[in-house]
Amino acid sequence: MIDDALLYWLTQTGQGSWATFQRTVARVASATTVNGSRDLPMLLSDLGFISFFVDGSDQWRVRPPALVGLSAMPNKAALCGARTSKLVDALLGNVDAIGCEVEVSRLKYGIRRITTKGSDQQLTLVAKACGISYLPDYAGRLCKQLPSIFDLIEAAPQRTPPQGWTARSFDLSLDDPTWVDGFQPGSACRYTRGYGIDKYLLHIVVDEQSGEGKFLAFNQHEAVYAAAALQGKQLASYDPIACLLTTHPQATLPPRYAQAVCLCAAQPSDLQSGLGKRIYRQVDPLVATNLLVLLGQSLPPFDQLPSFD
Amino acid sequence: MESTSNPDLLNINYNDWNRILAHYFLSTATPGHEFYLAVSPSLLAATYMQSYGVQIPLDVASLAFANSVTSTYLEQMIIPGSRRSIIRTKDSSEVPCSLAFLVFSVLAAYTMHKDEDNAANAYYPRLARLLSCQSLPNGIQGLTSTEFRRAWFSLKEWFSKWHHLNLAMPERAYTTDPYSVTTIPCRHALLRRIDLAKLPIAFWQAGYNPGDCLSEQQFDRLMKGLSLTHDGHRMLVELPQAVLAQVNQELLLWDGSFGDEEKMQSSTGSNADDAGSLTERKRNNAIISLHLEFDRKQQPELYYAPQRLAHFPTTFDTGRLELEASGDSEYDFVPVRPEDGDQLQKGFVWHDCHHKPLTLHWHGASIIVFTKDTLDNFGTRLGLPLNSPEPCYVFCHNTAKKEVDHYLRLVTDGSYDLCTDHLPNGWIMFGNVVANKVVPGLDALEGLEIIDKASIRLAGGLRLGRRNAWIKGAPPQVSVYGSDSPVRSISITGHNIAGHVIALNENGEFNTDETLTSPGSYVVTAGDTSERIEIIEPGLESIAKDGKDTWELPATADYDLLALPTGNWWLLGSQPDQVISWQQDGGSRLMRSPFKVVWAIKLHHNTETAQVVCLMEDASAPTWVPDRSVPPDLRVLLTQWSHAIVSSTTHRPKRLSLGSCWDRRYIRITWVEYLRTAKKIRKMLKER
Repeated sequence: MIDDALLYWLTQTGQGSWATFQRTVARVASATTVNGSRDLPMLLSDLGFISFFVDGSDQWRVRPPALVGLSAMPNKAALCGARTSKLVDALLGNVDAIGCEVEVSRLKYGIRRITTKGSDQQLTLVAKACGISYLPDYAGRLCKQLPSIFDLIEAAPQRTPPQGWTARSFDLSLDDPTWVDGFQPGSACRYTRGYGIDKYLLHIVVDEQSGEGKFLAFNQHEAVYAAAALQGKQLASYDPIACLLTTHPQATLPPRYAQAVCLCAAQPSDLQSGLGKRIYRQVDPLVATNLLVLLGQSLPPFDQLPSFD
Repeated sequence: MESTSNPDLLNINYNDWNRILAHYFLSTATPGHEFYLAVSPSLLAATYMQSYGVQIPLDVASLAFANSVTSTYLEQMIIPGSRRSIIRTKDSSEVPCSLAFLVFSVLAAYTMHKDEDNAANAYYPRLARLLSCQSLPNGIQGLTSTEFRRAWFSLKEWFSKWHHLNLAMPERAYTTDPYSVTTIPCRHALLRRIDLAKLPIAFWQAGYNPGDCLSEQQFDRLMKGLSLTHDGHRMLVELPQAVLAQVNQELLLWDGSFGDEEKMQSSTGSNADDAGSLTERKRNNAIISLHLEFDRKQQPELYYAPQRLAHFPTTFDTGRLELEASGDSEYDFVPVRPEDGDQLQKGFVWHDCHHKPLTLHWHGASIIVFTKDTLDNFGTRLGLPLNSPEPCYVFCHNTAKKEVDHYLRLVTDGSYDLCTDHLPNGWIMFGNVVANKVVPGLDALEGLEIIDKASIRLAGGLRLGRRNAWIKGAPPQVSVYGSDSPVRSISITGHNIAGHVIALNENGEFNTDETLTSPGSYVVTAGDTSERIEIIEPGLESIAKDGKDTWELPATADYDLLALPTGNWWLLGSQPDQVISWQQDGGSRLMRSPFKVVWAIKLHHNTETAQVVCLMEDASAPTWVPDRSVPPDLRVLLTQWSHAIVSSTTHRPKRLSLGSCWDRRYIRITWVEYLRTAKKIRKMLKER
């Protein structure tokens, strides 16, 4: 069983390598959750508990604790970042004393989702009493900081592909896009060598006739979305009626973008293998539409929006 | 984990050293057995790592410890009128403050050997030199031999009374001879630096790995190959068990480094190091361990696991391989390929192309045993544990196959598997090996000796680093194995529990979830074997305070960010002068508005229907209605604002809201307010 004890362990440890994280999860995950535990790092990252692959390394690091204002749920905030039993006790005690409401539910893997409801002033007081920060409308404010995928392409440094590594490409021409063996011009490329962390490059075709181009240094998920944006392929969409943002299962949102989406309501994404989708629920419409544009994806037609007549 | 030699990071004070050393000795000493404060630089570095999660070079650890003790000694023992609290009081955790000082006094003995000024056993001059104070005939400046003796006996009493631990005390220390107290630190040092320095290369030559635990037989073999000093030899004869514990401690804490063989041999038996100096020579060679994993189809996958020393680069470039640091004192694991079979047996050296003296070594072997270690990884192991709950995997070169097969038939019930696929060329693997027989008179194959001592296995749970500490809420599972006669129960002593006897189930296990619940230290005893378990209350101390990865977002200008589909849009705020015309042509740009946009309006154009889209859930009615005295530039804005609203109504617009769960009735009422204000403004503008 993985539950808050894992958060406590991560908090006490502070930081470590990807291998340490995997080994630790394998030790506490039961047989039924071992397969699903691939989703666990995503949950921890998307809900702002941990940052993985810090500065391109294989290191993870716990984020400081904070009370994060939920953009899709006015006057609500969730406890994110490092967690200890004492901090949770302090939060529950102060919420009661200051007159806020508290809601505790279980996320996947048994991790507790702790939210409080109150005015901005009350939530500020609760956070202060616990010695942590309160961050109103975090997802909305984070959106303003995120670069567009075209800005990333503009700023990415040029690289040469590593020699002796095996190349794979994200084939967007398939009905069900996925990673395939070999190099394909104009695609996101992944280079592996059987050990250590993989390298990702984006190939941009400069000369259409010869297929020649240049390689840019990128992170995994950004590379996929950059290639899709350049080819005009749709990997993510938003349903404004249901407030669902869905992505292709192989095209998970880049971590910071995923955080903006998940921290609208402190809800992790859900992989629906049967439907071939990853679904992000209760996403604030402003955040969703902004992120789609930042990622070079098309917006839903506005005439599909709900009428107020 | 990061490695560092930054002295700023080593700015820990005396009390912190006192606390982390107490922590270390309490977690490693075994109740009922004498223990020694056998300090060495590797122990100091290990305690630092244990408490702060940072790997530091051995010499930096020694110097940091020496600096903090020396400055505190000066303040509290030498300056006239000082409180002398380091030998008289306890810290906030009730640990005697003298502990770190007494450990330091052992470190002084550890560095002793004959030099130009002093005989090999002249203790006080060495201690005084390390403390930068004067040596006196009967003590050192600030401390008499009587006070020194009292501090040692007081510490012994504290360990005994509060932790049931027996701090060793030489018989001579009980005599009234004023010099007899110096035998205490000298005895606690056991093997001194000049002898311990010979161990790393001996470990490497014997093919031992950090964390291995030597049996008496292996220890005897190792020590026979060493040329010890006279004092070292005497310790080995008088205190063989204590020296075995010290050597196992050094092997446990060994970082996998060793010096150049030539240098080590030239220093054997000589006095190459400066007396009293705490400087350690940096070792440029590190070992490569082996690591075993099983893929989804349960096929074995063998990896080289190169050790990374604190002063090694983050990328070790062998020319063929670029090994990236992987935290935890390691480089990336490198798969052992089928064609590597020969080098796996014979051994090899990897040189770093850019840092010439630095090398990584695999010593080579024909028989390699893997078992799950205490961190649940498959690591190499010396020998086969008897009746282990976890089976062993024995890798064997073809040249030793017959011998190993024969031996395993004798010490097991013969139910092991033989695997030949997915292995390095020339190798086979005996899988699921459980040794369950001790055959009298059988000569053990080297590396396959039967370990028949009862062992307590601590597995699972959420363990903190390599020490026996687990986070509260996720304790380890405890089981007992390895003994010829089954152990039926264990006893636990610790937080609110005194000698609580618990029966083991048929698998030799018991459920710790209900026992090890509160933070604190527990001792689990099975027969004559004990293990200390700590349950730790999580804290926020380790959260990085370097300003990176905080939640704070950089301050930005106050603007609204909007995504709009293709078309010509009017964007309106709640004040009639807040209006922008925006042409979206590719759907790839975000609109930055200097005001909060309440409505986005697309007017009827050719066949396109007009759209009025509410973009704000809690939109308020227009906040200001202008009077007739508006200046001309403002008239333009008012005209645009009112025109967009009124014109949108002429062609049956679609009236939409961005949020599906927003209050439609409220939005409808608000829109009517805007329409009313727009009409009022148009009328006013016309009248003028």
